[in-house]
Amino acid sequence: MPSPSTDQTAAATSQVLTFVIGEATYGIDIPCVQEIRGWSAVTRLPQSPAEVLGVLNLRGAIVPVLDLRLKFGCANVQYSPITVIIVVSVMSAKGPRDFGMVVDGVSDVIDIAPHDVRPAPDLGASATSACIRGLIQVAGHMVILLDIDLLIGKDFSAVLADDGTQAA
Amino acid sequence: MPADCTVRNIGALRDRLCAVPDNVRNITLDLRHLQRFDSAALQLISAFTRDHSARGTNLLTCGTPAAWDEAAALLGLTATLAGNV
Amino acid sequence: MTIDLTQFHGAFFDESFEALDLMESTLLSLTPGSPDAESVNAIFRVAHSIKGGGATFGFGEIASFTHSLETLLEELRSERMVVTQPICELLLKSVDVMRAMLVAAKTKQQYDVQGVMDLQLDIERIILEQKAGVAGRASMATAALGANGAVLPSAEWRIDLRPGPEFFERGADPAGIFRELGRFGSLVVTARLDALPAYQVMDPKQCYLSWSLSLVSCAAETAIREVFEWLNADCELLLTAGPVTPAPASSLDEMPAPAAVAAVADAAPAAGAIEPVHFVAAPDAGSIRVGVEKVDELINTVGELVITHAMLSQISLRVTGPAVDGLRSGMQQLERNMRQLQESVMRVRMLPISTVFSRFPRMVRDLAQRLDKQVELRITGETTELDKTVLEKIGDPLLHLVRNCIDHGIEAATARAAAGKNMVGTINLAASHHGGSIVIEVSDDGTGLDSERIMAKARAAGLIGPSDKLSEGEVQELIFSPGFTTAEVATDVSGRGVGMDVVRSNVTELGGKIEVHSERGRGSRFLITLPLTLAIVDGLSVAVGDQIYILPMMSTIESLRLTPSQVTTIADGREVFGFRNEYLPIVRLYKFFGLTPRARVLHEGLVVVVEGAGRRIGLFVDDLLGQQQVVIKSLETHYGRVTGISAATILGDGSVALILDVADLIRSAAHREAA
Repeated sequence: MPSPSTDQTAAATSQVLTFVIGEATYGIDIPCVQEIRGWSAVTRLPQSPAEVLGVLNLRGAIVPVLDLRLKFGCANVQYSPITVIIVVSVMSAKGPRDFGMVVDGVSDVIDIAPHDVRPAPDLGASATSACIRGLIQVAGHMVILLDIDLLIGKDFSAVLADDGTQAA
Repeated sequence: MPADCTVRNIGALRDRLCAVPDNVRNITLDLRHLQRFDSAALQLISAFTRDHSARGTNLLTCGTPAAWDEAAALLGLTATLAGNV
Repeated sequence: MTIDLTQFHGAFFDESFEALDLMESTLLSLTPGSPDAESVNAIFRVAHSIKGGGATFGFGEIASFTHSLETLLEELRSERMVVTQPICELLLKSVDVMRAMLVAAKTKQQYDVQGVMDLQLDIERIILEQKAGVAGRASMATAALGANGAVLPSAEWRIDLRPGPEFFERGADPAGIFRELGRFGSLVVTARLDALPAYQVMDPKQCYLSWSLSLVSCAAETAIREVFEWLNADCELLLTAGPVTPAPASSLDEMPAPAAVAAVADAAPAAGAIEPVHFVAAPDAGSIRVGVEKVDELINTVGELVITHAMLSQISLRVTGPAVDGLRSGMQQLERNMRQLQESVMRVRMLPISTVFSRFPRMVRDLAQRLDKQVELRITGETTELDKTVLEKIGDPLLHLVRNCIDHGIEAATARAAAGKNMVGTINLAASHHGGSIVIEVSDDGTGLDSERIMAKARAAGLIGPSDKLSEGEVQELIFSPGFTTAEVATDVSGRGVGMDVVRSNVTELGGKIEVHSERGRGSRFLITLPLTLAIVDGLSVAVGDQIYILPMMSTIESLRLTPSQVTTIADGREVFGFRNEYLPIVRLYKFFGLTPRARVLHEGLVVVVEGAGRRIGLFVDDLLGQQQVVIKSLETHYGRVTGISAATILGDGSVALILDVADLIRSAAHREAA
């Protein structure tokens, strides 16, 4: 049985997986991460936004793969064996949805306390700024905390709305 | 057949049945002296009549006690015992 | 101990609905005046078990209504009352009312209380009237029954006894047991000697026999079990309630199985309140009720297995070494077993189409009566099995088609007589297997489609231009166009604007297709072709660039390599080619999907003629890779719908291939060209 004091600390801190895209380091909450896998070719999805690379077979389920680098406006992205796909799961109205995010590399798992998180400065309307939960300083580096629900919820609704207009 | 054909000394009955040559045309089962018997005996005789009637042997019984017939009927073995396989 | 009965509600509803379907179909087959005793019994049992279930689960109104119904049925069953046409109608209405009450109870909603009460009063009145009329005879009959008024229902029990080898040595006396059982009723014993060796080699002390017994008795299960109670653990005993025995004319409460009897709370107190969930709608001791999700889980796992096997066998092709032959033959064996497994698992989801067809006799009868037409419905192939999901979704389109046949197809009796036809119109409803698919035919011998009227309507609706010339087949296709309806007077039966286009889109959604063949004055014939299952599709894999797509076999007609001379380019750049007396547009899949192909010149690639949404196109692809069965995986679970794609599948190498939605593709290709 954990003592009350540990309970408090556990509730206060959370774990974040950090990864690198270009020069920047990002972080997402560990609980939504399903797995981290190496790059493998995906099947293209016709008429999807550029950052939706396609779908892959994740233990029998057909899971879309999103290139976060394209989404965040990185130029000349490359796909090599060291390119990494982070598979995350978000809750949607229709149940859990899994998807893969392509990043340049995974760095670390860090513990953060809520008071470490600083609000993000107003960066104007951009693909990235809308889904930033806050900023955090880790060993002299800045980590951008992403809100995965905002990031993907937005994206899927965009994709689906797109499809809707095409079908109409 | 011996008077006592129950599971305790069923081996003896089997040995006697085995002594019956394979190639005889007619076999008569003499049940007149039968006093005690059980399902094991009925099972054994069923196997015997089945195997012999399959070879075309004519099977006859004599002195069948009513209890034997009743037990055979209850166990669903009447046809087999009569050699109708 | 209190038991939460709500957990049994689902089963009660399911079984009651099934029982009502049975009651309805039995009622329809009943001849007023000379009803078949067994049918009346079957109807009685349905009412009886619903009453019992209703009472047990606290649905008081259902129990009360069915009690009245049961009383009426009891009069009919005992032949104290005669089954007349009005009574038949009353009983049919009761089926509807019970269904409505059950639906209301299930969804916790309101139902038409007044309607139920009215009907209940009608039922009770008819019983009273009858009783008053035949009081003399009735009292005699009751007197005769009075003596054994407490007759318990009798049932046929099947008992399977497989003793262990030491059965005799332990002093067991099967003859004694069977004698005891014989006291309960009539007993038939069959001995199985198949395990009995030749007498020379057998161990005479060992028991090789086993028995199957059939006991017709009114004894409770517990009493029967008691006889076997002392049996050793090494004996296998299987006790099942068998089919119903024909009712002796005087027996009052003849019932199929004690389990159902227990539904009446006071009849068999020993059985407790939990038993009644086993309603005996169709006596079938050899089946179990399993949740669909369990079956689907099984199907999914088998699907995974198929994919894993495909991966392994691809690897096995690259393996070398001394063990390779054994490995490959092992893989082949595995494949055979797996196919078998897959088929068996699929079969679990299959149900006979009779579950859908059984709705029709009633509906045809009611509708024909309302429209004052004479219609005979002929049903064939009702045992044809298809996937439960397909089955659930095909009911409405079929209903619509049959309605249309009665409303628009079959003429009034006088008109038929004038045309020299049989006064009674015929509607055929037939199902059959055709290769890997199911063909359902709905046909009538009515007026057939009126091409001129269809053309006129289509012109008026702007579906075709005023000067368009169409072939007979194309005209008939028009009835599937959105918003098309020919009924000159919109009845409340059909012709409500939603029409054949909805039927077609329902069928297409199931991966099937619908065609119509009609001859003026002779009738119409609708053919629906459906896949056996929604879990697997027979597909043609085609390559475009580095991508592989699956074309459902059901939508493909032919593949051909076109020479430049066969292709005509029309002014706006659209390409067409001649195919079986028509010109088909060419849709280049790489353009449609925005891919980089290997073949851009038509004669370097292949054109696959595909059909969907009532149209045909030539789909230009790089190459055909082969035909294979693929397991369908939803794209919408984690993503969403994609135009021109129906689902995805996993190929042997573990990669994903998309399955094309041909109808959607044809529609959006046409849409894009028009834009």
